[in-house]
Amino acid sequence: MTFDKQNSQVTIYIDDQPYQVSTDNNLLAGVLSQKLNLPYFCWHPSMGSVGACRQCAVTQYQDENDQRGRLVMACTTPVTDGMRISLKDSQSEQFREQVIAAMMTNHPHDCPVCAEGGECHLQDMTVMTGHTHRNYQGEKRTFNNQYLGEFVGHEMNRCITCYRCVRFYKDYAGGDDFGVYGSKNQVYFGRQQEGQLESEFSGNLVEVCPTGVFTNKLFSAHYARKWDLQSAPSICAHCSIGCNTSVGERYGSVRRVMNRYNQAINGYFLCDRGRFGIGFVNGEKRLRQASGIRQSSPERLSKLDVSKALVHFRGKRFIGVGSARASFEANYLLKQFVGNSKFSLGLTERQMQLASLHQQYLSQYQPVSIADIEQSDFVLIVDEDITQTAPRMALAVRQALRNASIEKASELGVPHWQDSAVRTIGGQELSPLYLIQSMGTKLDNVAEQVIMQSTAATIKLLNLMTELITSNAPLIDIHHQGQQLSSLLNQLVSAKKPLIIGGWSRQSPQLLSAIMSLLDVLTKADMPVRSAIVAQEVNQVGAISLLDQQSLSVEDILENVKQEQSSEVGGIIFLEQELSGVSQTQLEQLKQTQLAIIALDHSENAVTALADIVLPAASVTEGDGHYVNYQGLIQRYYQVHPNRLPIMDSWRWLTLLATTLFAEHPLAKEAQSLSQLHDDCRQYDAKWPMLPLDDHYDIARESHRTSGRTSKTANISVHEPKTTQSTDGYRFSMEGSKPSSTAEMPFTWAPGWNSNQSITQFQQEVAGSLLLPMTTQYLSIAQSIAKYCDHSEAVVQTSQANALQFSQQIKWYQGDWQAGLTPEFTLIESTNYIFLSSDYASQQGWQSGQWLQVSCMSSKDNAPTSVIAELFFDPRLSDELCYGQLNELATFDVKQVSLMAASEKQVADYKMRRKAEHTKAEQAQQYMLERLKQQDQFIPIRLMNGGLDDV
Amino acid sequence: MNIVNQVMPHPNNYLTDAELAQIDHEISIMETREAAGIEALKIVQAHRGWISDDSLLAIAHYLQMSSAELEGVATFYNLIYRQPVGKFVIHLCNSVSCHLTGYAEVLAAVKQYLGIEYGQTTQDGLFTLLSNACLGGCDKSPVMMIGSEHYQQLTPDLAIDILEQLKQTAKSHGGDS
Repeated sequence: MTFDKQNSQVTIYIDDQPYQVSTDNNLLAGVLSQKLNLPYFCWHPSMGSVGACRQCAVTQYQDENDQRGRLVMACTTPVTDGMRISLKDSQSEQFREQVIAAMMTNHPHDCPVCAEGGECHLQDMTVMTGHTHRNYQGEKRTFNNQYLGEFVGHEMNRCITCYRCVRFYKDYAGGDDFGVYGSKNQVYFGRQQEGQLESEFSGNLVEVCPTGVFTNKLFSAHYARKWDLQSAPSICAHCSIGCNTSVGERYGSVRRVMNRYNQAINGYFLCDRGRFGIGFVNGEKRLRQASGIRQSSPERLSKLDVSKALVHFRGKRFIGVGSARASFEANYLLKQFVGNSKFSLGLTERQMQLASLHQQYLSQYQPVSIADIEQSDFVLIVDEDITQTAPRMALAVRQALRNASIEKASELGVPHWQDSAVRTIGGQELSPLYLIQSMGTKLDNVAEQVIMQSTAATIKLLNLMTELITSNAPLIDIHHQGQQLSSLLNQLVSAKKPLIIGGWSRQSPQLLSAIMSLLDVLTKADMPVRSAIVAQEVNQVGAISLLDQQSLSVEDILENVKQEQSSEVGGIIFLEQELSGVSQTQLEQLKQTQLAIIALDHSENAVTALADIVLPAASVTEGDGHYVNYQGLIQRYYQVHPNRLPIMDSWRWLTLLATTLFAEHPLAKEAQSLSQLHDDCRQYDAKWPMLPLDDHYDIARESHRTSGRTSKTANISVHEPKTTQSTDGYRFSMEGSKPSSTAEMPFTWAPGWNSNQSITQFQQEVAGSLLLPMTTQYLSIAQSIAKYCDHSEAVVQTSQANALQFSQQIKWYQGDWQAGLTPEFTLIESTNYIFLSSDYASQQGWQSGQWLQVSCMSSKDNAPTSVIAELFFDPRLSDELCYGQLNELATFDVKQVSLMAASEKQVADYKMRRKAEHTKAEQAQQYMLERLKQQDQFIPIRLMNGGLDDV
Repeated sequence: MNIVNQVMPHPNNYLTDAELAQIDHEISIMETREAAGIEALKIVQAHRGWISDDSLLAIAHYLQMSSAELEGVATFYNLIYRQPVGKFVIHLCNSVSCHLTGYAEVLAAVKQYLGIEYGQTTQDGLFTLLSNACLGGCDKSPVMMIGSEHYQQLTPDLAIDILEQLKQTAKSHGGDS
């Protein structure tokens, strides 16, 4: 957002003390950057100033002799050299107190039942201004609340009309189903009609709202005060961006996910998949016991039991199938134990080609960070719906598009932080965004141009662009899209910070290859092009960095399984791998094999269902390890709550298995901690990334106000239990170093600042980097799979009569298997729909809103699957293209569909089935909640639920 | 996605040709399509007396803007009615000058005469009573506005006379048709 930053520091006098303050931001930001207390509501470090709440008034003086001064709103006042202000004078102090007093005339007295209590910015600011007496005797304004969907609760009576919610939802995140209504004392924030909020960023309302109007419904349903939560720094496990999160738990169940500030990545905002997709951790499908192992004691699984179960495989080789959602450590160990030639990531041949290209890409380019995306002045997104596959990145692209208006405003002398002024000056002017894609996306209405065409056509177009740039040829005559193309190319080559984004979701190596050729010519021509390739899963980049020439694809594994029934291969180890890219027939093949299947996972899936031995693996909140994000950045997630044995980190399971199965391997020894594992790996492998694992901190995971330290388990034993020991630098205790002792804070809190806005106290300057440095270690990735070469086979279509090219729109709540286990994500699933060109539909005599029967030909299964979908028109589509969402086929693989009108019975059946699914999800949600509340009475600490020889 | 979940009445089926023609004219003189929002609301209200949910959705659809945004506009202005109103909407000024010159007495008289409170409509559907913060007639206060007409220097009797007259005209007009 900060375009063309002139970061000059000047001296200003606050209550006669000199301070060095940056002129790049407003006075309020300057004051807060000095860690001084000045209350505010409407201003937000990422959203700038509008001067709506009048809370940050300070007195500004003309010069040293000026005794009276005048009130100014700090958030709308620029910083100038030598300016003199006061925060302590009675005039501004009283004014600020009275602003709060006025807000309090309407604010209800419901703090005890408010989910925001104890971390409420309004509470903090009220105390800060010294408003401690309620004098108002009149009636309070009241509103009816709305149902805003499954995630965000609504309590309008608490509103202080700061407008932050609507500024975030509409202005910042581009949502159009939320607004502000009414005037004067009756101002209402919400939807036009009740219903699910449509933005994939709706959860940020919870953090953006300074009080409890918008609350996290899932948190409220199973609630604990912030100060009673045990928290740890974590990494969102649901896409390849790697947003930093702070996860809170109590009594062994995870309660919520909050944003954890990281300037370079997520800043202040998370997407809803990250915030609400954590439900799987507490879910009904969790694996909590080992199966397929004979236990000597019914309560406890011992290491000896595990050894005994495996001992007859000693000397046999294993195929190891890692995954893009398992930690970097676990994938690495698996590869070392099974050997290069037996290692796989469960990728298909086609995905292996993508992986090869991605390796090559990462070895040549440094992908741009989310913060740097916001600086772009030209964006081209190629056939990847980042609004759903990497929502946080799409939010950054939206901010980049504002750079044109920020620049225009700055020419008129209006600074970037004057939000409403900049938006007024900018009008509808946006920096150029070009979308070349095969389906509609939520960025379409802010794009300068949307080129809607098949992936095959896009590949051709990109190759043409590459040629044109290489040859410098004139465009208009050569191509029917000449006009479009010439403006795209002109803007691309003249931009100062152009950005090209692509990704995996079309599953097309040709596409990725074409993007890379384009990047290649631009880079060779010394153009400042920057890029990002969106991977599908959290640790995809980390996982594919381990692939080499010998690595196996799924097809290779199936071939192996067929041939090597009696050879030296004893079995397959699946590491947190649900084989989502594999067809039903292929799964059947696996089922029939004689090989032993060992599955390590946190929840039930197709693979654990057919495994002989299932070992319960830690989910992200009980685990300790590293994920590598789309840039190659290695980030650590920490245990939020102790793992309840026998649940263990996959890397611990693997080393345990190795002591029996691969006893000769140097890494086949149990590590006591992650840092010890890293030491072992470093000794074993010189290329192991050097990471500073600062495990000496002993930071308390609980706040110093946590209730019930000694009584939490009193229903079981009145003796105070020993706290679970941890080795990761954080304690399962309220005793220990303060959270701010490291940049990876378990939660954020500062005296007087109980809400997440306390983060300002730990930043160099407002919205800047943290006082303590973040570890920024990138994985070095070399091209080690056979280089991809384009045979262009897949481009040739074996087109059937009447078949249309179909592109599946994967929604943000569907893209990740783990998050998809959250019951609320099933509840919000929309019904099937398909978009066609209006011409084609009218030729067929179909109307918008009509239901069609869609027969899908997948390249994996030969028999077409038939589903029902509602028809809509998209006039931008050509006749042979269509896109939509067919929930039964949550796969990117569907290529061709043929359509016919559906019968009334089919539609009725479909609707009935949908309704049944919905009811089932509602029941699952209720059941889970009841079970968790019940479980709160039986606290799962290690001492009571031991096993695996725990002392 | 918006289009999928929200079923909107198609503007061409819902809005009349006359309404559409007037709205089109407003669009033609505005910089952007949605800038015609206020005028479109006024046009439809002039034809139908008030803005129903269906009207709002139809206008939003026609102007290619979100219904949330148009609702923001519609509820911001007190002369756009989002609920059915009577034939005559009384906007009685309740700001400070009127308070000083007898607003309370006028209000009491009007309420008693019509038998309704603020925000209500009389049984016969003739009158709706609303408050209004300043009509800009402080020098001739107390003031009220009915339709496009301002009535100034009101007394309780004068106010009731005005309402009587309106009732009569309404009756005679009703007899004609």
